[in-house]
Amino acid sequence: MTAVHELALIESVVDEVVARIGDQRVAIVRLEIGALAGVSVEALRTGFDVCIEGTPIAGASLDVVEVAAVARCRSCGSEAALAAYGAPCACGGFDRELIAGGELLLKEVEVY
Amino acid sequence: MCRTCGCGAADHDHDHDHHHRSRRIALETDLLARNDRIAEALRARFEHDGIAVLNLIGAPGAGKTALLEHTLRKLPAASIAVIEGDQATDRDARRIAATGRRVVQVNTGAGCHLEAGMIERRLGELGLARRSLLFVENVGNLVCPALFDLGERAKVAVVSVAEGEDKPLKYPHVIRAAAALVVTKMDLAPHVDADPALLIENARRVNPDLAVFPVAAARGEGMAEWCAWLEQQLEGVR
Repeated sequence: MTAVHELALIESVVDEVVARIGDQRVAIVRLEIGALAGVSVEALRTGFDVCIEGTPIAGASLDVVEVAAVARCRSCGSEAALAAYGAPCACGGFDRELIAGGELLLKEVEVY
Repeated sequence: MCRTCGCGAADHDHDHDHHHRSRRIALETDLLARNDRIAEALRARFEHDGIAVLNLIGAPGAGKTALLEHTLRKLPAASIAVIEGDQATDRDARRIAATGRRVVQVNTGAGCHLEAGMIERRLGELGLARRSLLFVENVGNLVCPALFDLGERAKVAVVSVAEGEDKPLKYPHVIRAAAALVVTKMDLAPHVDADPALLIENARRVNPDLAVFPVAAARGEGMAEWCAWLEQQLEGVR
């Protein structure tokens, strides 16, 4: 059990990596995290080393590729950066569909 | 990034062999994959068994349990059960049990949200009949539960009017993920200088598709509309 959801996500990463690559030694775990994915990259970075201690991927370093949020407005059709949910489009519309920035992805690992 | 070799790791020295011989293995997996796999299996099982599951998410003190208590009493004929999530105690489960409905309490200890595996492990204890409504009252928290799929039919955000009009803007993820918003304690609005219309407008800015139910559960106000929506959810799994 973990206290913040970022730690639960790291546990999930460890399980997934171990399941997929077996006992190969992991140098780098690379994640892709969207700005509006609901996850604190800072918390991921802080928790990563502690969380992977004692696991088969102990010693691996974390690389987070951050993805900016972009939304398509359902009123005017234009695509623009989305600073936060609830922020209006230039046309004044609020019905904006997230087309980037929601990523929560275990992208790849580098193994020795 | 290492300034010497440009690799993704932090700066490190290069006078011995190590990860320059590393190779990349693409994984391309959602970080929530472990939870989502269980959640999808649960969803298929709920669909097959005709069970409408609603995942209630709100801050501690938003009035989730009180909303449930009054909802259960308003729907005497329906088959309804509850899974109560809290860090500690079975207090909420005892409140629900007092209404005569089946309930299990999940204690997460330090955990700040329910995960699909917790639902899967405890589901059998409820002995749910076909065409049942299952409420999952998540751990009081407006942040973490939004990310974790429990196999539910819909997430329902619960925000009390006293929490302030800007709550949906400050905690947008759960509002974005929810199909419905219940604004509780409406009878308190005049006493706490709250503007429920503005709270609702802010919620709709974050999620224009949101169904909104302002209620004063203890007084019964707004409960008919909320219960009608619940009946619709049940119809959906018939």
